[in-house]
Amino acid sequence: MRRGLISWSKDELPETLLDGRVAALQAAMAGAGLDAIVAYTTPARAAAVSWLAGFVPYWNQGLMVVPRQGRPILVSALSNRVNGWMRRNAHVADVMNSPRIGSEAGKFLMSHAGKGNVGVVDLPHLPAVVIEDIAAEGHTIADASALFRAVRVVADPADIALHERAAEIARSALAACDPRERDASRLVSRIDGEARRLGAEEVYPAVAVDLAKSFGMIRLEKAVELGDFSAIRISVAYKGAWVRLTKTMVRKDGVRSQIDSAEKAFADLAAKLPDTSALATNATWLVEGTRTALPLEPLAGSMIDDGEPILPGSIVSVSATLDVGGAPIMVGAPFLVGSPTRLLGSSQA
Amino acid sequence: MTTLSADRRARLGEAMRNEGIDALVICGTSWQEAYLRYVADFGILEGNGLAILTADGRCRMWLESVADWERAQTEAKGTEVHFARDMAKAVTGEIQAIANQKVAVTPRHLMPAWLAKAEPERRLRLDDAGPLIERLFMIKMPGELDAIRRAAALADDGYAYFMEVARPGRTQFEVVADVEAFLRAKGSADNFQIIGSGRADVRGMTPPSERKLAVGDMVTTELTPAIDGYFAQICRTMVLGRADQTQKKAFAIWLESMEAGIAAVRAGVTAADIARAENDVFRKYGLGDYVTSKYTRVRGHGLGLMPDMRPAILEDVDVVLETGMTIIVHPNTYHPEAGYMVLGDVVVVGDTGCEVLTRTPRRLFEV
Repeated sequence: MRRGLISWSKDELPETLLDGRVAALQAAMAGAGLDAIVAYTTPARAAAVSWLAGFVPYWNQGLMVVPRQGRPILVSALSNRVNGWMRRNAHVADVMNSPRIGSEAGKFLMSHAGKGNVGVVDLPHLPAVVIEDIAAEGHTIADASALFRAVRVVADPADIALHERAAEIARSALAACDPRERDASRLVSRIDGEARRLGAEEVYPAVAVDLAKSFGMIRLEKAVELGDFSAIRISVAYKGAWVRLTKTMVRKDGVRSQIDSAEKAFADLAAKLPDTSALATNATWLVEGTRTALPLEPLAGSMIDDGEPILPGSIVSVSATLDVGGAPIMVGAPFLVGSPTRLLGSSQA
Repeated sequence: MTTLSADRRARLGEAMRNEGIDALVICGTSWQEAYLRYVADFGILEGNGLAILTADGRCRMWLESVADWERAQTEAKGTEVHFARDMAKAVTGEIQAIANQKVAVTPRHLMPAWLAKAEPERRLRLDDAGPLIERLFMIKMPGELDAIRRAAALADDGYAYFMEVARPGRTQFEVVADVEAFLRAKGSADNFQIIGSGRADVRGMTPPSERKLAVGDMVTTELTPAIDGYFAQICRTMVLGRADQTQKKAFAIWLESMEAGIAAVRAGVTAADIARAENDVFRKYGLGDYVTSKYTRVRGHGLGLMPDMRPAILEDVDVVLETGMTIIVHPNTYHPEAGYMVLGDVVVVGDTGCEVLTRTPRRLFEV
């Protein structure tokens, strides 16, 4: 459940920009013989709709319906009482509230242009009942995930700016914590509160409590004491843009230089993206990014056999565990892939 | 596994045996997190997850987020955890292997399209296990009630802190950020919170915005921390400054309504009975329009592994309350002169009445 700042900013995501994204999608759907695109949204799968309309739900599920011509609408299972809030925070022609989002979307399309060929972004992962309800209105269904990916993958300046801001928030939050802190809950509390005060829409902290014993990350549901050597991973969303950062923390000053070295080495490895071969020299590495609805989709890494190419112009969050003098150092940061590949949010690092 | 998660697993296994179910397929995502939490003791945050619990007690779970998979390896004790970038590819074979058994799925409304596709293709029949697990969700075991009691105590503390930090000039999201940090420091990993501030122009609560609190504002919040995955909620209204007569008069109706609702709670009555007790008070004061869906969603609801669960407290819901259920009674709605006002307490249903868990005074606070 989101309880951070959910607010569509017309300064950061101007209406003309969102109109342009919708127009690009409409052009692509015309080429693919689709009459409409439907994108699903929940707090966990909000990336497609937030990119198109600036909207993120705090709860429940919804569908954005983009006809081949004309402005899109939003159908949400949130109650009608928050319709005004949704209208303020979504750039769409209309917002409808209904528990049967698939039926409403199907009916809208029927009234707009009759029976049609409807492309669904992220189709395999949508609840089957939503798809069945759209189809029950007479439409045929196709998977539009690849089409959407192609339109969305290269970040535009607004997308880069939002990710940059998310990364700045994450870095500021990490900087607010005392590396000598023993109480893991207090550490997470500082990070979480700081990120939300800076406008984060969501914050997911996780801690590897004692790297001498385990690399396992936990969410912290009880009092835990941090070891001398620990790591924190913070996943931050800012207006639909997600980044993930990981930082190893150590109490002893002498060892801190090893962490600095590891972070520098990691930045050098990640700077070689889109080529992942340098990163792949580490036993554990991962590249995540937004392609359709999942904000941080695993794209390539040590545990992915069939990874996909990392494209220039895309934004990714990269993480790895580096071995520095026998000590495992967990690191992670977001990057804009290009020539050169650039670390995001580093101005406040 | 913790004692509580082992108890849940055992209870679910018994329910499966009683229904003759050989395997249960459980779908999960963050906004419907109770399902995976119940079976695998895992609070999913990112992407989709799916677990298969078989009659022999074996539980396997697949997660499409690496971050969640990493957490689950430590957090989901007693469950075999797998990363699955392509869930259909990873799990379809496992489903096929149990296709000749009696298999049920829950929640049916979250069943992903790839799994629905497997039903005819793999000659698989997936029964709906919704009624089975929802009954377990509703009627709590002692260990579950203990977690909810602790969450309710934290909700009380959280509201006291909310009153400290909700000050004129601060934005709604800054205030909620402070509360979040407070709850985190006390070991709560999750919280559901919405807020409203202003006067008669405010018709409901929403996620926190950039709106600044101002002197004279009525500030409403629904604060819902979780302990060990179990949520407890408190709803209170405060005024920044002195409450005026309109606000005080309105609050008296809300108080009477909530107390009438709570007085009606006991095993054997229906959710509708509670809602009617609350709404009759509004109707008595000529405010009957304001208990309709135009102004309010529900008059309370169940809670537990999610902040909002069955039964909804509404006049058309005939769910019979049973001992061990936990609900919040909250006559939250709009008042035409005062604005949106909230008041709610969590209770445990007993044989002859209920135990109120939240202890914050039932006052229109002035700060």
